[in-house]
Amino acid sequence: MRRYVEAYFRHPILLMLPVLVAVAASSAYVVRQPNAFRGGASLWCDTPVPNPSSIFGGSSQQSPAETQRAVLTELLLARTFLEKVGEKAVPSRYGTNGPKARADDALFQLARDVQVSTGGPHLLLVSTTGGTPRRASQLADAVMRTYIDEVNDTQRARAQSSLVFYRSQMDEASKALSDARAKLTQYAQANQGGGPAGTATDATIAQLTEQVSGAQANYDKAKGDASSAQLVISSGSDSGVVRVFDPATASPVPVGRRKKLVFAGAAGIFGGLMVSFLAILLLVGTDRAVRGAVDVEAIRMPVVATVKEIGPKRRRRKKAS
Amino acid sequence: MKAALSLTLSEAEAAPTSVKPRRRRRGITAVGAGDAKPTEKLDLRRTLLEANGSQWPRLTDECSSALELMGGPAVVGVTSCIRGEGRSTIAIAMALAQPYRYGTTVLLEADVEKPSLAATLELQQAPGVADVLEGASSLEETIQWTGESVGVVTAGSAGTDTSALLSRLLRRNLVGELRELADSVIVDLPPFVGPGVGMARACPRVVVVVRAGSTPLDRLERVAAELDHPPVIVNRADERLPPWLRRMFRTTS
Repeated sequence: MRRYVEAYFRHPILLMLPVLVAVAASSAYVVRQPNAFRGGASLWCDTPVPNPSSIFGGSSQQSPAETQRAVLTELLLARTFLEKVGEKAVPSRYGTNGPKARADDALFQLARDVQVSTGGPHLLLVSTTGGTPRRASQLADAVMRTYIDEVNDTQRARAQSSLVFYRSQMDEASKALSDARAKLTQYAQANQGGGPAGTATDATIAQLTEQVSGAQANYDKAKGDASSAQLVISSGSDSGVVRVFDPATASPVPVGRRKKLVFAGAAGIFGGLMVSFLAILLLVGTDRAVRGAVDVEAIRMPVVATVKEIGPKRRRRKKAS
Repeated sequence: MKAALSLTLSEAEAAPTSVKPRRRRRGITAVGAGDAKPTEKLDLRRTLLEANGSQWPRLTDECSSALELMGGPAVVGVTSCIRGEGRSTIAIAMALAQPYRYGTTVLLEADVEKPSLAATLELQQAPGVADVLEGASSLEETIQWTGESVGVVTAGSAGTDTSALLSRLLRRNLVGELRELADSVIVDLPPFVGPGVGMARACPRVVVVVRAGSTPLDRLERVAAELDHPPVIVNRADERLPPWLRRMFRTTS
């Protein structure tokens, strides 16, 4: 340990130089980076129609904004979604016409430029970073529009499938209802004059009437579900789940670099220290010379005197002066 | 450490307790070899101060303390693991540090392969050790006395056959002869490799100069093993650690 510390004090400049160079290089890199501007937009999130809006009653479950944030964050990892966003934001930059590797780089950079957060139970905030205020704003707008389209498309596709399903259920319920009604009518006509059956006849009528009521309820439910699905389809682009609340805007003032500079400086110090540490290891590892009285005493040789800095080095200096 | 030191430096007891009469110096107060033309007195301290600045007194103080720790001089060889560790500088400082307590001192340059004392101290290169060994001059004539009761015997004109010269140096007891002429002798030995190993072994006491950041640890371990853990002077022990950190490491170790 002593030899390592001594090596540091013997070569302070040599060992501090990597730290200084690394800090200077990392700081210069940050300073030379182009300006970045921040854009943003917000979306209003609610439960899908025809369900009642969640703003009128609290829910212990996850808020709509939280749900949408999770979904949007997930989508930002998907290449297809990023491509759609890129095409809407800056087609020339994110288009798939160029080399694939370059397009991939651009898409990953795009994903890094978008941050999603919630401003409350219903407000979803989209923050973007861009080289110019316009680009940041375009990116926020593209993310917002692409996400809304994605949600609406999903809603519509699901509604289409549901409609087919509910219609088939409605047909079956309609047939069951017709059958039940026919049986009731037939039985009523057969026992119109009354007779010896008496009480037994009334029980059968009640049972048939109950069957008709059940079939009617099933039919009504299927009809209601089909109507809901139809409503979603007919509502066009607005599913009610997400809608634009604040349009995309961007700040004309570039993002401050202080934080980046601090991080770059810290990284530079760390990197430089690692280089210095390796240099010290190398210096001490290759050093086989006696460094002082301690080394001499370690091999059981008594030190009778220590003389500090005398000899040719100082003589030369003296002569030069 | 002091206990270890006293064990290691048992020869310290052989150190002189009384200062030899200064008359020995009489007749050769003029600096320079016997056959050299008389020159003005050399002031080693002034020469070194001009060359090294204010750090020289501090160095001699350190060396004086080191010699005291070693139990006083008599004969001390100064060696190092490799060249360029400040061996000659320490030897000069030791020679300068001695006269106050131990009387006259002769600094003998035994590193005939790469002599440096004459240039450093602005003395005459010859006659010196080589000339004595070849019989060209007497040992007494080669001593260049300075105003500090310090005599210096330089390597002399060694020529090219230094290995033969070194083996002759090993055979002849120059140090013993010098002890007859001075109270103590400091020998500036060659590095502890090749013939330097034998010369260091021939010295009754050896101190090793280690230059921080330069001396290989494995070479020092070899010196420790072969010379039975001799005392060490650490040169350029420039402690860069803050005092509180030094204290912490001392506590933890």
